[in-house]
Amino acid sequence: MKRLLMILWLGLGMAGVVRAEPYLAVDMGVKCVACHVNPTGGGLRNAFGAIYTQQLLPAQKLPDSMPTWTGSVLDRLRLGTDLRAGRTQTRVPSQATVSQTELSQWRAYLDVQLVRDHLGVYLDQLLRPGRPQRQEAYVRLTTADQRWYAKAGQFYLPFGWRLQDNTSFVRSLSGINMASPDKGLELGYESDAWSVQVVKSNGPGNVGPVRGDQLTGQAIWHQPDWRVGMALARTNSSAGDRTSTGLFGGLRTGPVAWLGEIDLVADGGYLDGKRRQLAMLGEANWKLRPGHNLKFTSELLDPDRAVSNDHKVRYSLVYETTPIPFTQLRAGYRQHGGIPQNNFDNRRTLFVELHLFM
Amino acid sequence: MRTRKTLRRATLAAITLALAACGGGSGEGLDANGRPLTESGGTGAQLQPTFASIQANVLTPICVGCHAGAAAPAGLRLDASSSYALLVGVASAEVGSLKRVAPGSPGDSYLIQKLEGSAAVGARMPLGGPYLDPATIAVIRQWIANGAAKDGQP
Repeated sequence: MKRLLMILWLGLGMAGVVRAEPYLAVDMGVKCVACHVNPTGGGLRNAFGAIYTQQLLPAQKLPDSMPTWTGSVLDRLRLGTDLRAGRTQTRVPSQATVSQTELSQWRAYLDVQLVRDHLGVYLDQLLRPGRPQRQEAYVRLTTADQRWYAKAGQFYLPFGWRLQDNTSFVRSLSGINMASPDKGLELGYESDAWSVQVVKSNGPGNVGPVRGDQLTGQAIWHQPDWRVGMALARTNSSAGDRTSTGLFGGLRTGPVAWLGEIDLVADGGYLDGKRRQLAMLGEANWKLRPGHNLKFTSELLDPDRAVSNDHKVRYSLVYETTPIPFTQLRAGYRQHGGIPQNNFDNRRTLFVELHLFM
Repeated sequence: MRTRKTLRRATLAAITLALAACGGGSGEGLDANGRPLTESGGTGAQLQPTFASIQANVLTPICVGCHAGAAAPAGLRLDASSSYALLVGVASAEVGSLKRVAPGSPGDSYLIQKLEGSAAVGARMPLGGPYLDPATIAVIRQWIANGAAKDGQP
């Protein structure tokens, strides 16, 4: 028990160097890096993250007699996984209702400490659907005080809230999400109050015949009950240059953790000239009691600010429960709203999802 | 304490309702793809096995939400000005041995594999669904089988 408390205490104290699912981090009042090996969050959980998912997140903890999973299988080897499967029912106006059941993703994570706390190799492999596909694979070098780091290889870029939902307006408009890794070099700084990253990379859209590069930067200022961040990305591309600016923040008010983000994009990759676009996200996560979260998300997308009456909205109400460690159940309703001429933009979706993780 | 709690919940409910009360754009003066009528000349004809029809009924309204601009996933821009050149006869970024659209061979076209969910790599498209119905995919198959021409009737 003492050891467990020590690890939890260390995890909270190390909030300056380590990250997590955004609303959980806001709810806990710690930096996102508190739960993940990856300095910019997502993927493999560190020891604190692994213990958090067993002792604090679920409604029912593991019995004391059962050993706690910390993610370490050997002295310097850490493993993890995420599996999501579910059933979705979609109703598009004037069309038959469609239902689909699928394994949306099964990922495996690995981290090897070649030189303890200084040099590590990280791998995030998508196992399903389809054949295995590498998402992240990089070498990470960290200074002795754990404040500075460098990542080189393939990884997700830092830009705004790293949401699980890659189809959210802010993540699809920015083009920076957990489905679009990029290759490059990332330099990062982590202190008690600040997280800063600067990345030079190819640009996620610069693939095949499209050539160019991208410079991405992000800074977040953390306080116990709130945080605010700003992100910038400048893409030089033969498909057209692009500038993305993001402002985002989180706030904790009692049992509710709020997230917000505004992204502005100026994209020269259109035949009719530079198109300015806007995406907004507002999210409230109400922790009803341990292991039970009610999430409401409101989103807006203006696909072309020069055109009136064309904006889209999306509202989601999702109930998430983690009854026991390593197992989460989600059920939700999502309503899209768009111009009445486009039925697809006015669809409604019901979904249930099983999320298993370690 | 109880009053504060009630107030907090009431605030949350009020904000939720206020946000949920907002809808999408009115669409006034726009075609089905959200572009000014003066720009597009209007769309809405039934899906045909021609590139123009597939662009207007599938690629633009459904795919361009993500596959557009300089940050398009896999560099694949599916807006009307870019899509044909980046689809037909171009190697897939995920499976380089396959063309995104192989004229005359819908089964060997990566586009069809991604739409049908049989691709060797990655998620079925459109990401997160809803997926295209078999009839729509059949029309795209037919366009490819007919030679995947850019203009004119098959």
